[in-house]
Amino acid sequence: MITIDGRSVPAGGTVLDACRAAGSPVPTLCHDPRLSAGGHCRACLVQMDGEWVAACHTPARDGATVRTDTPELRAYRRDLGELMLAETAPAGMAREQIARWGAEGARYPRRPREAVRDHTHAHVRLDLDRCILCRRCVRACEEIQGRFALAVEGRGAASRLAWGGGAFADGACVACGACLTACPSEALTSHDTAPHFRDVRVTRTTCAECAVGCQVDVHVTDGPDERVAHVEGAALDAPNRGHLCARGRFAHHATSPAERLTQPLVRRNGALEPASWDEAIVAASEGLRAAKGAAAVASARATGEELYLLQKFARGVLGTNDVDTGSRASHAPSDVALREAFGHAAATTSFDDLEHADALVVTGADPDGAHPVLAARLRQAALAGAALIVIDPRRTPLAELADVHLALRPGANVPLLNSLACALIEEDLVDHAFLEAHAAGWETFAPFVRLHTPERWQDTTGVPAAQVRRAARLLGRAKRPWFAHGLGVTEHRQGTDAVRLIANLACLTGAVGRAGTGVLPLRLECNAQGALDAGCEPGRLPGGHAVSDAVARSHLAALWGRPLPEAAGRALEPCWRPHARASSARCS
Amino acid sequence: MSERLESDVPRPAPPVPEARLRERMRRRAPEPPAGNALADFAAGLAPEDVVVRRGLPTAAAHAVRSFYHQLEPGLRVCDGTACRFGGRELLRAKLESHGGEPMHVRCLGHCHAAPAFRQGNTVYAKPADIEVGAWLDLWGEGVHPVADLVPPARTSLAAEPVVLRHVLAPQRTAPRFEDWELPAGDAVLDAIERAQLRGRGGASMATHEKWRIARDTPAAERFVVANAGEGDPGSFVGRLLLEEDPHAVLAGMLACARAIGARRGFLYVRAEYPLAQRSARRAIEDAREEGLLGGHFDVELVIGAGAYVCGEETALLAAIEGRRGEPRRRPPEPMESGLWGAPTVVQNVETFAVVPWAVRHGRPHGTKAVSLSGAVQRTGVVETPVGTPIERVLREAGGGPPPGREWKMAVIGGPLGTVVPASRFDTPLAWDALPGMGHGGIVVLDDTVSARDVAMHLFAFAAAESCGSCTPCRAGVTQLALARDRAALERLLDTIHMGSLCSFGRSVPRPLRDLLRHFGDEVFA
Repeated sequence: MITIDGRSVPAGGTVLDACRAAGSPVPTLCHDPRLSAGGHCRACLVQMDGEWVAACHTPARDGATVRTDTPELRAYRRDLGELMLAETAPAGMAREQIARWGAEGARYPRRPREAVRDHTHAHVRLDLDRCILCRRCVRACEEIQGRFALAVEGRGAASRLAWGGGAFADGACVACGACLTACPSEALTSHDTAPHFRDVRVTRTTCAECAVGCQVDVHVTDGPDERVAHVEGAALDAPNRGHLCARGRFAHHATSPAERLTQPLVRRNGALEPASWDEAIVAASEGLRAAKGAAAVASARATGEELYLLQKFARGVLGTNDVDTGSRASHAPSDVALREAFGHAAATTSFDDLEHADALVVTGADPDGAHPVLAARLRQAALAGAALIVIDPRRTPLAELADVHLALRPGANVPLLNSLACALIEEDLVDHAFLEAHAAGWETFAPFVRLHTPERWQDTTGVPAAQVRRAARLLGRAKRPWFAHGLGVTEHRQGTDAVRLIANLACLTGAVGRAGTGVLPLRLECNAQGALDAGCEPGRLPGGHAVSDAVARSHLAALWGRPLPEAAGRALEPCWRPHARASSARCS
Repeated sequence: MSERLESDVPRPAPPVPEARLRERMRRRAPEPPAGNALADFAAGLAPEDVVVRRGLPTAAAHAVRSFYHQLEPGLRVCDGTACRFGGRELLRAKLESHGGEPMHVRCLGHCHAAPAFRQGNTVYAKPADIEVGAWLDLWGEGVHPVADLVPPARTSLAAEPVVLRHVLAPQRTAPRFEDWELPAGDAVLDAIERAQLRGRGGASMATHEKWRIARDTPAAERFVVANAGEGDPGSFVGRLLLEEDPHAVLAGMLACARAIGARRGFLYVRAEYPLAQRSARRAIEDAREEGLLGGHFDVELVIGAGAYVCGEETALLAAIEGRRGEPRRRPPEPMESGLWGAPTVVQNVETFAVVPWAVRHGRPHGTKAVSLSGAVQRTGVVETPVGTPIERVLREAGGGPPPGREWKMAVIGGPLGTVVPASRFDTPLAWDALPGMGHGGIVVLDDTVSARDVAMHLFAFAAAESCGSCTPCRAGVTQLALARDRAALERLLDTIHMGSLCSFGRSVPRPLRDLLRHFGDEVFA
């Protein structure tokens, strides 16, 4: 126990934790519960057993006595505030905090730093005349996004926040906005964090960009011109743990009336004209009646309910199983292969698991582009010491951090993954106990895979055998391997086989069904899994039942009060091909 | 997975993300580049080149580059205490009259031969037997001074000198490798404990305790670091030892490595000591040739880049890693989590030089080597029993004040140490009797110096060397010289002392309070 201002609370954490538990307010500026303690601002000074200590990074010693509010401390805080106001002009929370200490900015002659301003970046504006050098932004960039775009340059009074020279927009910033959420002095702001957005209505929802599933709080202005003011990461237990990426945080600008449709349009005499909803629905139904046949294409960014209704409309109203999504083609290989291997067409693991993994294998994916918040978590895990193996023809940002980057020729996934399995078996780095208990086919698999040595395939894959063997050793010696793969696996001709091989690697290393291990297919859109579960595919009904399953069909027919078509649907290749190419070029 | 090799367990993640990134980039490089980023910058590489060479983020490379002030040796006049009050302005004017544009350096460790300056990697200083004006007059037009490499005089007031046992030996006949016959690690630790060794830099922890903690902290790797970041004006014991007895320092490091189970050591020598760097490098090569280093334990020489605060342990370790030399919060202490997060023993070179003696003799070690400069007749390094009154050191080793002068005060332990007025020169030189004594280096000031001048000198030092990481120190030290009266200055000193993160800021106020206490209004005269 530790005594804070006369109240006893459990020791163990920091003095600051104990002070908060005891209900003693201790001011902080550089402290951010998401980040490591910095100890820079020294605002949280308290007296512990007669010594002056910074509460934020001092362990709460058992049996110690702490005082947080004495005349000396009040005088100290005020003087600290006066010193800050002599070198800088903070706004926001820092300004309010300093004012509460009684500092007025009159005690010391002002010796302000050079007032650097940089407004070159689309989303992050820097006004360093407000900076208090608390380094929360630096730590947020490093510890949340793993990006290292910010640092402090210079020394002593000449210290200043910096990004390596040149315009900030040309630096390493990826606009994730972690720094914006950390800055207490409004030295870092975006157009979204302007103060006039403060009084707003907040809605908790799921981000509709990529498949990570970030929880967001959408702040909406009240009143007649209701619109999205800003979006913040929410829920520390969500996949994003309160973090967001540039798209999640800033893409809401597309909701502004200037950038989207606000009413139905009907084409009359070759031109689109505004129409009422009734007119538009009548026009649409007339068109569908007149058509010889119709098919439905769903976006995997729609909600589960919308996707369910769309396939119900196709099957129950249009009378066709020709219903599809672009993501079906991108993910069918994972569905087939994972269903075969694990009996379940989905990930066997979660994002939280990767933090307990000690080897990360990322194949055919560029999460920094396609799943930025996952990329942030992967970078943190790698920086914390997990081995990182990237299998991708591209030098992705993640590959730059990798222990081994197997930069194979495009399309060579299958021989490469086989040779990786071969190297594991040759060096006996496989989990025999797991294979015996949970896997089938070892007797035929092992002799076959042994033929596919890294040396045999190195000319085909373009990856030197020694690199494959190095990756195999890192993977085989890991206690908790974790696998993720993206469209760079599934959109290849041998996509299904490649996913089978990834599942094989997971079995060989015993990386199934244990905490910190597993196989995770990286979907493209936020509801790719939901689109398939809802039945937006030509061969499967809601719940994954085959269209050929008469029992499932009659069950749905009874529910819907409509007969269901028996003929298998057609995949809409000509429709989705161009879409898939465009999105993979952009996203994966 | 039949066999898991425990030796492949990665090192514990270093506590700082940037260090984690660096460790990762180092690990994945096929051939990690030798040295560190400081060495790259000293070799003239631009931040952009260091980004490529070390896989560093661009922002971090610029941040490191801009932290250090001695990456271009150039022409620099020493601003140390002895030089400041020993003719620095005359020297500066002379160099300027020769067309030079001297920059600043604190300090060249030639306090015994003040004033001093460096030109490139050569240090020039005034010989003891000549007045400043006469010395400067000796320079011909466009010709540089004659004196180079003035070695400090050395003497002992102790019956058995320990620190200076080799540098005092006539003719230096002692074999360079005599100290290297060492027992096993446990025996080393026991001997160190019997010798009651404590850090000679002034830190108070018993050396054997520190080493035991490093040995017993679970880790895949451990490091030994010798600290020759002797940045304090008025101290040059470490320079003398490195220049003339580097083998003893290396042998002490080896003893420590045995005791804690380390395979790698780093000898950090500050940028301002070019001669000590050369001598240390030669000694490491000698020892490798003899097979004493290089196998189970090797030592790498790391050159600083100009930052006083790198004498602080955690800042020193950051500098060795090639980062900004900023002290970090504690805990953890370096012996638990130091270089790259591994347990690391950091000792001053003087401590390491004593270690082989302590291991051999196992007797309590009760002396301290002290640098002596300023207003005495004989400057240099003196080894004296701990507890010797200051005045005895100044008279017996220093020969008293120069003719016609009177002592006014002494700055002891550097600009963050303590100021002792001449009336208190009976105070014993001991850490308990003289808080702030630190390494014990003494700069004596005579009655031509005003307390105001001393205060301004200390203000300027603090403002130039604060790292800027924490607010009270960064924002406070720039206000010191502007304080209007005693009350305002004392308020400021309280804030800097109470709030600062590391021992730099916490120590800045002590000598200034000494000045206020003993000289009062003269500080504001």
